[in-house]
Amino acid sequence: MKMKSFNFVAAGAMLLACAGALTSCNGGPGKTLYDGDITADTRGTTIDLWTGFGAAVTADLQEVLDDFTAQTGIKVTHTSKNGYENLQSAINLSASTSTYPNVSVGYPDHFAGYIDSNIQLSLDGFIGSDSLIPATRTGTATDSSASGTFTELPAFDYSDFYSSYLTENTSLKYKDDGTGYVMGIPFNKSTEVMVYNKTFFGADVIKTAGIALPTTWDEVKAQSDKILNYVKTKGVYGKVLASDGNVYATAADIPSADTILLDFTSVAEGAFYPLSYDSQANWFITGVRQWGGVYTSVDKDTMKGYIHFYDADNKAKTKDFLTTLNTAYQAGDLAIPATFAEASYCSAHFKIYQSLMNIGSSAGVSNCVPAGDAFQVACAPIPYKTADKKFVISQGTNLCIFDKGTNAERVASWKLVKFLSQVENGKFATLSGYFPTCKSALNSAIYQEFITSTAGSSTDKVNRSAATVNASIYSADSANWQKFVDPGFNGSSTVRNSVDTVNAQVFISKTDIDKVMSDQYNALADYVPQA
Amino acid sequence: MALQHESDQYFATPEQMRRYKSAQTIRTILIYAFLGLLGVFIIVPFVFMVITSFRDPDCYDWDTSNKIFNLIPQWWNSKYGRPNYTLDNYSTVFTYKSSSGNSINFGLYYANTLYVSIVSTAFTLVTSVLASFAFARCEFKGKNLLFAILLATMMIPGEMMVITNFQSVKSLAWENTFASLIFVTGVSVFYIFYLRQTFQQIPNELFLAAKVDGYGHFRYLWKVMVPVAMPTIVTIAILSLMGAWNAYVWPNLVASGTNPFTGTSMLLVSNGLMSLFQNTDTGLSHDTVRIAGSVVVTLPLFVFFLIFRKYIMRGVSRSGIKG
Amino acid sequence: MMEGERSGRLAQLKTEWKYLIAKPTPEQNLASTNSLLKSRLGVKRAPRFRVSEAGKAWIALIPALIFLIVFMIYPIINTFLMSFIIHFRFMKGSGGSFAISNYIVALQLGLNISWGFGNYVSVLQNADFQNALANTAIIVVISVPLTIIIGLLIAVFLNSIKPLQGFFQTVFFLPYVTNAIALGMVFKIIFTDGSSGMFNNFLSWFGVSSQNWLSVYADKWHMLLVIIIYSVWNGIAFKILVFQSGLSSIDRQYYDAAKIDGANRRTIFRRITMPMLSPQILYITITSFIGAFKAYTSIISLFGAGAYNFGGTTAKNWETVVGYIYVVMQDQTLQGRAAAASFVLLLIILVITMIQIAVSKKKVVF
Repeated sequence: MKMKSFNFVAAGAMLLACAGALTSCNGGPGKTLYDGDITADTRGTTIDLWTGFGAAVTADLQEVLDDFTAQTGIKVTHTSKNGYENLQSAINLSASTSTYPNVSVGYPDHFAGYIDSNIQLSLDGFIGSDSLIPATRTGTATDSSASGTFTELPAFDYSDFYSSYLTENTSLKYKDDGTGYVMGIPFNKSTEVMVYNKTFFGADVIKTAGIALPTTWDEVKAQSDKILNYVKTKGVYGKVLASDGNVYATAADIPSADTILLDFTSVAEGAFYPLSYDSQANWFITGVRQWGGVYTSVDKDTMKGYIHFYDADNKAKTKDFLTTLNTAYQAGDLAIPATFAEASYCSAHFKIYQSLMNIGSSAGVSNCVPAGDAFQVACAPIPYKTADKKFVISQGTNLCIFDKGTNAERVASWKLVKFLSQVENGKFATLSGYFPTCKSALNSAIYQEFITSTAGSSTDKVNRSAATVNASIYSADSANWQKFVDPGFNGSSTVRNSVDTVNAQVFISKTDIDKVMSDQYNALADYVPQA
Repeated sequence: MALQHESDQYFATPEQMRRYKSAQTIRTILIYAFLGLLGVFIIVPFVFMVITSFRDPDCYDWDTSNKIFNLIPQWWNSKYGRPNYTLDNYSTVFTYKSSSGNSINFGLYYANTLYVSIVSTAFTLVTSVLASFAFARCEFKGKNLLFAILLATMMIPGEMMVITNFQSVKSLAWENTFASLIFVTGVSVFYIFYLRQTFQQIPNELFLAAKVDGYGHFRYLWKVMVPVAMPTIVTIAILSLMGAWNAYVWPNLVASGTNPFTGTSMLLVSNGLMSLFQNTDTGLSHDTVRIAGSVVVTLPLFVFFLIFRKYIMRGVSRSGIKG
Repeated sequence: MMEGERSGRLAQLKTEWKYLIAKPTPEQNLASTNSLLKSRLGVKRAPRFRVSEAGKAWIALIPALIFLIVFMIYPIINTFLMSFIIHFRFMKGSGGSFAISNYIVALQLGLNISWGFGNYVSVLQNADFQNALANTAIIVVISVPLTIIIGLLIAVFLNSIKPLQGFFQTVFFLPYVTNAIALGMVFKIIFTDGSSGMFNNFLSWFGVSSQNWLSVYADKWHMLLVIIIYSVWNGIAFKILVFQSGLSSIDRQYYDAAKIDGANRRTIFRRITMPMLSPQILYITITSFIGAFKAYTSIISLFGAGAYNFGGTTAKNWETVVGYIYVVMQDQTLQGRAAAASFVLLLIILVITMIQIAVSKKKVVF
């Protein structure tokens, strides 16, 4: 009898003690700590990084990775899977055999899948315990037994990031109290900008003719009509327009004091469109928002996604958007890649004077620089509908860490994430043309130098121009632009790929908008909300 | 009085023979015309490929945008003041950088592809000969059922098996090794079927005679069946080699990185070609460069075909046993 | 001598005579050879360990079977299982590709996963799949007979000429060596819209105006024509090969006998060539139909814009069943549905092949 009660009391005491120990481990409510040893020495570890970057960005990334190895002694093996779809597919197929990498990049809908497959780690623990990493150690980056002091990376500041980039990463997996886990850290962000022919729009002759760079979609229609009219009445097709306002037969006939404004020797009537837009999916998604509609939404509890762009509430707005654009398209003002009877980018045609304004990703503006610098290019914000709905899409991936490897490898992965997203993000931005993800990267010496200098090739200049649009216009509070991202859910890329074809069907095949939309809803039946 | 024509036809009068001869000539002319026309139809894309691979990119652009059709343009281009032909496309193909940042090495790709083709063909031959032998010559319980099952697998779309095989390869740690390229797709029911048809046509008497001479089954296979069916076997070897050369989907999925044992890239020529096609860098995405890449990939196969043409044709025409 | 004695003697002589002139049966021959060998050479007849014929067959089969089971039978079974799991995905810790273990892990983690016929229902009801099925049927019905007939004609003509036979054989086999993607690109250039396209230029010799062939401005039937031309171009090489082999193995005796009977060319072709060639024709028909149902690379390489572009502004104008499967496979949540679609395709191909075999039993002469 006595033994039993003793056991009971002892057990109860132990239970209470454990409970007390647990709460003290927790570090207090709301703050998560890393469950391993974050102070482990990571020098000499090797980790894997998978991305989907092309050759150019891979080279830029490698430079930053070399800096990382020099500063931390951690070796990184980078593999590019050539495209985000291949990357996503490769990671998903490695889930069951645990052959995924330590670190990778991805969009929110990719992450939704990785979370389901139970391979992605939440980063709250790393963020919470980051300050516990010792600031210095003995030795050098490569040799822990040498003499000297080795400095670890600076501490991580989560609040430094632009909040618009953080929401998409905290809307994927929720804690019991309703707040979201941090599943990724922003890495390479871009947006859409309008690249325009600066030589043309800046010419006095053109300004006198009343042609200016449009800022709203209504202005786009008006100005494009003006441009088409001007070009037609002046008879520029097949010839060359010079800065003195005259039309000459070939470029060689222009007086030496003047410059070429429009070289239409290979451009006939009907092959010229004042404004071209590269990504149709972006156009549709941005347009739906700009006209006040809703594109998709996610149910927080089930993490299931639904489409809303043509339901009862949004039907009129989406239809108005498509009709407005269609009118402009049929008038010859607009072009999409399919207009040129190839699936290539419009930038190829922008470079040969077949369009004067091209809306595309800020990361691809260097593709708009014409051969031999035939004309100057600069960037401007994309057109909007009304001043209260200045929406522009924010694109780009985030870094994530997978459940793999020893403790040292996990801590090393965290350090890589820190480095790429914050410590050297500014340098990466200057090299690759992506935008800085946090204020410290924006204000870093290297980025400021890049953005304020006037030297460099045309490619540098146009990259700088795009960066300025982002920094001074899109990010400025006064300009009232809102960078948006759509919620990521399993299948959001399927929805996106499907709406990518809407514009071409409406403009080129001239299919009735209601029919196109009902086809879309049929194809995306999985994502239509059940009444 | 009957006249004999060389084609073993007999005629009563010279008049009939003359009429037959002229009909024969017309027939021959028509046949050659038909073959010639279709032959041209077949050849045009090749000629186009080869010629375009040598064309200067800018001149080519100017031609097509100026709506001039030139299968074989003249030497000098007046607009650009330089020849229409250049070797630049080929130099671009052999020196560009892939997305891993390394410069392309078509020499290595040729070596890789050659190695994979030869070894996987050898593997295919061994398994096909043995399996066809079992189905054609031996009697065992469940033979017909097993063959029917295998036949059914020929109808399966390959896509169904890709994902599971990819995971199996990962589990076996064969990713990025030659094993994944050789063993996974090596056994081909198609060739087993084909060879079995041939083996079945070997008369039973031969087998009985050999049995009397004391040959066991396997000795019979090696000494009699294989030599008799050699034309078919050679055909299978050649077709298999050609198939392995052009393979893309599976190698790209399973072996497009670095070999963990040799440290070299596992890429094949088809990968090289695809990276040319998918590259959006303006210098590389040009049609002329892509066509030059296509020629580079096709040429070895074409040369190989020319060398072994006799064997293929002979093998095909003797895959049946006469008499 | 008495009468009875003589008949008995005659019978005896007859029997002796029979033995004198009788030839040994094969078995007796073998037996005598064997005993001779045994006594002369001391060769052991019965081996100590005798592998039965069936045993040898299995030994010969094992190399092929191992790899077939691991890399073909198992994936098929696995995919079949996957097709019954709705919202299937690969999970960490499931140990591999096996559908059921992944399902169990996912269930334990509380994911939205279930099993049933849902995937098959979704596939069959899906408008895209139905469209893809119709497209595939059109392509198969038009391109396969066309290619077979043209291939047969070429093979017959090739067989009947002597000079330049080798040259033409080479020419017609050329398509076999080209890479499908490269070829698609070349066709895309040849069939460019407008008067700069080579094919349009060729048509203008006959007074036909320029047409739109493969761009978004082209209508569905122009695209079909290009697809058919591409399929024929690509497909005849192997068929000519097989038909020629069949033709050259037809015994000359048949032809000679027919000529003696005074048959004309057309009768010879119909009554001798075709029936003697029917095994090859059956083989080619079956394999061509199977191959045409799986058409995918030919379509995407013609429209060039990527692995999921099947032409037209909807990018689905000529989507085939395999194309549909690939598009669905892209969505990581619909792997089960892709598996179901593959199985539906398999069933269709199976049914068609069975029909062909049933028809052939009456028509094919072995």
